[in-house]
Amino acid sequence: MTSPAGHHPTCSDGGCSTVPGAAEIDASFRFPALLVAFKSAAWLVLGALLLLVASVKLHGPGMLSGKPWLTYGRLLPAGWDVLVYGFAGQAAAITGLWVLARAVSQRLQAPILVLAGLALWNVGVLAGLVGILCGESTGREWLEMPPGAMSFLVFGAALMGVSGWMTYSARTNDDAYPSAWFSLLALLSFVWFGTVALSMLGGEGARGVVQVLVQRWFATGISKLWLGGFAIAIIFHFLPTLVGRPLASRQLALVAFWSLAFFTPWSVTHHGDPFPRWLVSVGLAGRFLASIGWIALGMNWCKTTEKVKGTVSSTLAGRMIGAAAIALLTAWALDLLTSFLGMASVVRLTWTQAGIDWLLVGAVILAVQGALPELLSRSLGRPLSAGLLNAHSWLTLVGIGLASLPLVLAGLVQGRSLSNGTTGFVEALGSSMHLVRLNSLGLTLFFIGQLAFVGAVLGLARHLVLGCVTTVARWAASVPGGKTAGVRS
Amino acid sequence: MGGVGSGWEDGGGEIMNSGPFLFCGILLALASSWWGVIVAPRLQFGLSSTVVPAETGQHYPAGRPGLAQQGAEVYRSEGCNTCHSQLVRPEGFGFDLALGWGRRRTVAQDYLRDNPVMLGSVRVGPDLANIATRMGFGDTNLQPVFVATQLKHLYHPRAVTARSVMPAYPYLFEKRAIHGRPSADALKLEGAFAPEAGFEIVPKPEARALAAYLLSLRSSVSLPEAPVIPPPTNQVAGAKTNSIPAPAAPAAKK
Ligand code: HEC
Repeated sequence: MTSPAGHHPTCSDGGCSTVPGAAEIDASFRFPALLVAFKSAAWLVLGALLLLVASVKLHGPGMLSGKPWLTYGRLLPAGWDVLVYGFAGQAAAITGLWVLARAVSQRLQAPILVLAGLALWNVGVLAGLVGILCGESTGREWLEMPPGAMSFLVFGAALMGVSGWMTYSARTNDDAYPSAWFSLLALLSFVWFGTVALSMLGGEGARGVVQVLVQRWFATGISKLWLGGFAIAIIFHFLPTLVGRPLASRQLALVAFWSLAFFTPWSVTHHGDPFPRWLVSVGLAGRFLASIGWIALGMNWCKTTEKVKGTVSSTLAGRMIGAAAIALLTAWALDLLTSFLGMASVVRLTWTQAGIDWLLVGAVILAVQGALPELLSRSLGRPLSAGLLNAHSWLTLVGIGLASLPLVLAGLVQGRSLSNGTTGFVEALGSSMHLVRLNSLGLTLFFIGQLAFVGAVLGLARHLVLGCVTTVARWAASVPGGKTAGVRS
Repeated sequence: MGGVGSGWEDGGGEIMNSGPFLFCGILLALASSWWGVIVAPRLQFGLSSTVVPAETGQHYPAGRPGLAQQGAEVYRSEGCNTCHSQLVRPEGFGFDLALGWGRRRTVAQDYLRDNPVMLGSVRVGPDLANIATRMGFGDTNLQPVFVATQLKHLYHPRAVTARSVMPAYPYLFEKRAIHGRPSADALKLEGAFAPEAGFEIVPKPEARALAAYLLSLRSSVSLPEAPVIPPPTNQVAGAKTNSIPAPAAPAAKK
């Protein structure tokens, strides 16, 4: 195949069942994509709103303090989980499955499993949200949802994973494109990390700080291999198509894949943690070895877009995907940088950590929101409103930038003034608050941007409804209507 | 740039086209980390039990008394751990000991009986690993003062620390009309924070449990792997913690 978008001249429209063309693959995503578009858009707006309110509450602690479910300590995890699991994870899973299907030139297999998986997933997120707001959080970061809710997610992910592996096994081309590997890694990751975390934390499986290890191992796996894996798959899919030339190196992609898969989840400890020294060293070693993977990714992407970076940023999808790649690599670099002894003593346990998390999740959101409109317009045969998407892309880019980078700096400011030994905690915090205010501004822009995105999705829905009505009308007039999937590839 | 007929410029890795290979490879990758950072540590120290330090001659860590245990649940449920860590980093690393957040670093042994262990990852507020000891719990007479200060702080942090950004938790308290004499456990609030005349603010059981939990937070007994570090001579341990006015009474009594 010449690009992930693969042309199959032998396979004319609709007339070919063994080697499906791009249009057919896209069409096989029609229902899952539509479902995800609406569900995830709703979670997106809700999550962004919860996080925005939480961040504003930091500046006015007496505000909205009368209701338990509106307290900062519940809003923050609730908003984060809704954004991560409700929006990013769900949308990443469907776009990840799509780039997987394209990478192996096969229609989505057993779409019913995906639909069932998505249904379980959404029930789980809703239950988790209600649980956290009602005070049933587990108190474990990234795993705050009550175990009952979380197990819905794990089952849902397993069903989607089965469909993904079936699609991969039904490959019709000679070589699976690298985006397939990363999607599969991501699909398997959620099931693995989720199952182990639930079973170990449920009973007496983990006592004392072993619980922290399980929780951090889960959070690392989920953020970097599950969300990150999908984002990497999406970037691999889009970059060559955007610049119209093949991926620079399959070897580098292989190196990246295996070093990330093997070493990333080891990086769970930091200097100063209450663990034995060997474990802290293991965590640092894991971080260093995983860097091989990130560097390989960076080199591969840079070489692929060499001298044509302008082409990437000139399109809407390219802008989002390009920014996602940069944000992903920056998040990794910051994570590594802040784990060094000198830096860690200053910025560990400050806002910096939150800033890096935001950058990572922001990268995933950018990748997914670059890919989702493509998937929707291709599978449904209707473009989304370019104006709204354009506004959305700028607001989201700036919003995520402002939500993350000032926090990274705020941590540095706070940590430095505490390290000099003369400043009290509250003063040090105060000196960083103006940067934290920028985070609130970023979240506001992000939130407005998401409204534009939802507007675009709703616009699509209106067209679809109108389209259905006309089709039915035509059918009633006994004119056999053409297929709705007039898709260009 | 060539790459005619394939999606990349170089070859290799055909094995990635084998489903079973890829599946097993990924599983092996993920399982190795599980073994390395969870199973092995669990074998090393996850199964350890309480110790009896010479300093006290009592089992450490001791279980929490019932009310404090309920308080831990309130702490979890309100998400206090989104802003507060419970972890003191070692001497010479970070500023934790310099701020007086502990007499020594915290180690795995300290968390043996916690479930969930709420280490925390972002310190919007000060560390609480030793909040009981560093606010003058040393003297048992001061316990009621400690609890009263914590309750007032929870009701409205700005009633204690002027520029606090910690959220207020008024819903853990009850506003009651005073019939006859005011209740003994009513909060002593002044100025803008005081309820209107004829009313009083009384802690609900959740607030009381939370204060009991805070009172139970102390990881400062000397352990072989983490001996207590003698306080520097130029400062009273805990005095410089931060600008949070430690309860006026204990400070005065010191
Ligand atoms: C939005 C973040 C935030 C949340 C949530 C939060 N706190 Fe705080 N907390 C702070 C800040 C900031 C301070 C320092 C200013 C002050 O003393 O009010 C603080 C101070 C404290 C102190 C005094 C610490 C010292 O060194 O004197 C205690 C005790 C405390 N918080 C307990 C709690 C408990 C219990 C909860 C949950 C019910 C909680 N906090 C929730 C931010 C937070």
